[in-house]
Amino acid sequence: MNYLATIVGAAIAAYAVRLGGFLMANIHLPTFAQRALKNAPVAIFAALVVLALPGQAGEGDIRLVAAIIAGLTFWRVRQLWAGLLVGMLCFWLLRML
Amino acid sequence: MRSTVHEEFWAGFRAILPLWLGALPIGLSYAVAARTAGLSAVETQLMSLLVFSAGTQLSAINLLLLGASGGTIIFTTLLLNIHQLLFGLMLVQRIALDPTKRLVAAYFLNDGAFGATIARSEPTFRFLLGAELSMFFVWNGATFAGILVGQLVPNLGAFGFDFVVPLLFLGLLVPQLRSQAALPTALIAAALAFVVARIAPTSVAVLVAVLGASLGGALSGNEQ
Repeated sequence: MNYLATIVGAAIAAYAVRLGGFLMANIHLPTFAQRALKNAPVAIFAALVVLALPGQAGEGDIRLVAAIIAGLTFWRVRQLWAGLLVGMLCFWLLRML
Repeated sequence: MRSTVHEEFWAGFRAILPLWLGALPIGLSYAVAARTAGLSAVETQLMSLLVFSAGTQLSAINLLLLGASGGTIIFTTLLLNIHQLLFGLMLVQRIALDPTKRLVAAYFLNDGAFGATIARSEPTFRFLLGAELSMFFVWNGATFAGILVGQLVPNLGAFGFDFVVPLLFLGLLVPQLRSQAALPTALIAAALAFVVARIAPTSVAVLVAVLGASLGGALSGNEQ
């Protein structure tokens, strides 16, 4: 079987979407849209956290607990690596119990 | 000057290192799945080099196994990456990019690199490129390793390394919440993502959540 055409097609589709945003730079956005863009990183991060949190293995409950502890660590310690470390350790500890 | 240019690149490259933990096992299992589905070694690697999207590649393999047409796979690719349209738009508002840089930055764009870059107070092209290539490097390395050792690899998925992905985005989110206006935006986005993901692909959920929450925030006069 030859999947080359499908792969190239998917590559073009992925590149088109990625490039599309970069090419919209010269469009003049209304003020409220510019304000919306300023808010967008927070919205994106929140959405990605929610969507990636449950995982595929049905461990949503312990991942939620570990994420809350990691979130508190990010808040207090203000170091990315510290929160990641605490979060992963909590997660592994909880799934062993 | 030259040294700061290099520093920015490597700072971006390093910012993605935590995500390597998640990308390695997924890349390995992608390669094994692709070979099982009947892709040649070259096709398997080519897909990681050209498409460069974990979600897209894994779902494409699933679709191939289900006997889907090439058209279906291409359409799914558009759907699974549609949120990155917004990423490019936001990056280009924050970083001055000439046409060549746009072409390059768009090719290697991925969620982690976008997140790490947009969270910076002064994002640069060098940082973005470093972050992008960091993920490209590990993703293709993991694919290559998966092709080489294939079935010998124990089931790394069982260790739950992918949990580092939501943790990283949480780590990017939390410092932003220090501004008052950010909290409602985050809560609306989280709720929208949660609901929409039940009925639509993940990228559509991201898109709806982000448009809904950030427009809602902007219209209600919340700034920053």
